[in-house]
Amino acid sequence: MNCSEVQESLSAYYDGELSDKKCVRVSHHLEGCSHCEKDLTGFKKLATMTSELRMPSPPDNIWSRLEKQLEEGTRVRPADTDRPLPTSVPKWLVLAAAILITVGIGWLTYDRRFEHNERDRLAAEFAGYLDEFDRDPYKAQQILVAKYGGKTVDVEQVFKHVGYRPAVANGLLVGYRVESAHVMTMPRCKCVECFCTRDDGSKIAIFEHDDEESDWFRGRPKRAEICNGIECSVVELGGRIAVTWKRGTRQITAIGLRDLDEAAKLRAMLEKNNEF
Amino acid sequence: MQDTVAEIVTLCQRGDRDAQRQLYKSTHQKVYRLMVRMVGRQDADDLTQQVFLQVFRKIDQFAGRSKLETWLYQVAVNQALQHRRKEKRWKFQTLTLEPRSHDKREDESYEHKELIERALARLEPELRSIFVLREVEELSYREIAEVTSLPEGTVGSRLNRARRELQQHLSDLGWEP
Repeated sequence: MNCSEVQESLSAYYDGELSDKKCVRVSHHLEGCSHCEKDLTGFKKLATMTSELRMPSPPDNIWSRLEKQLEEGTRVRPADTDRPLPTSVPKWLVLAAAILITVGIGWLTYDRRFEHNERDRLAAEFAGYLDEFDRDPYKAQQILVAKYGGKTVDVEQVFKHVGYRPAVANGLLVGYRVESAHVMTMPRCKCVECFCTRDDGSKIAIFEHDDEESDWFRGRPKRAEICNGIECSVVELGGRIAVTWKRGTRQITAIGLRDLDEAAKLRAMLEKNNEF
Repeated sequence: MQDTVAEIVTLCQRGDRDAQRQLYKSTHQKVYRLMVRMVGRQDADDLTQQVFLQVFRKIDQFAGRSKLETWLYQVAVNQALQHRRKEKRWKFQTLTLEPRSHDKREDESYEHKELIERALARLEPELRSIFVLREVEELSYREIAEVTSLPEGTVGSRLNRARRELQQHLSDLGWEP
């Protein structure tokens, strides 16, 4: 067998899926080929690393949620066929329905155009905020507060405004502190922004929000990463990054982080401190 | 309590809640584990729930030609891939991460876990499912072929590709074998 044939069968050889005859031929090749042997060693190392993967246990409440869903699914509904079918439909009703549909389509078109404009405006305003954050975080903060009616609140008062305690309420990483917190009315959701300071005086902004952050970073390259086993969306901002992850039904976006390590530590701290 | 899979399946087909619970209890860890690897921990709970909902709704379609476990994996993989397609904003794209510098203070094992998780996340979902079914769930090629509806020979070539791409991703992330 040549290298190409062995390479094609290497996984099957490694996994013990080859016939005895073919297995012997591959073994024979490997004894004299350091290149293919090296690839096989790579497979073994990969398996060792994979065996070290964290194996989280499923939460206990899945069954109760599932059972509830099953109960709802089996509840008997009146069959459609039991309903009397209309024998004839009056013309005035058809006309009224046609008018309603026409008005509805018109309203939807207007609404969508309005929504697009609103999203474009948000994208442009947020782009300005991010650019300014890089130069002067305080000024960026003021811009955002002014645009979205930001109300300065104590972290503990946030609950009154949005119905939940913000993730930072139970503390931040050592060397970080919350300088101020704001509740803002963004176009599609009410969000909480916590302006935080590191020991060296540099700033990060932590947003907790219901809406997707897609318009916030429009036009900036986005990638997915894993932070402590959780998928995060990462956007490069000059020398810093913005990282977004899901937290229950909401999302957290941290702006001005140095790197993924900082993101992972911050996320671990916020999730450790908060049961939701 | 019923003690054979066939009896449990029959009872599940009749909508017997105890049998459904028994089936769930005996298999949910495998499904959840697969979901964590396929869609991430934050969505694994919901997706595991959805998988079992599908399983109980479609259990009449389980003809017993394959192992129940294989059928469950099939439903789970389909659900995960469908979820990935829907959740485009979380879909993994080509990543351009710079090689990560090693911090010697960090525990090596932790580093390995983090690296392999990040490398796995970069693998396209179809390849990831095949790799996880083999390396984590330890399914045979025949079983993976049943789960993924691929010819058995293709499973080997996809695993070759998955392993090589994973090694490349690990190397891009700064892993030195």
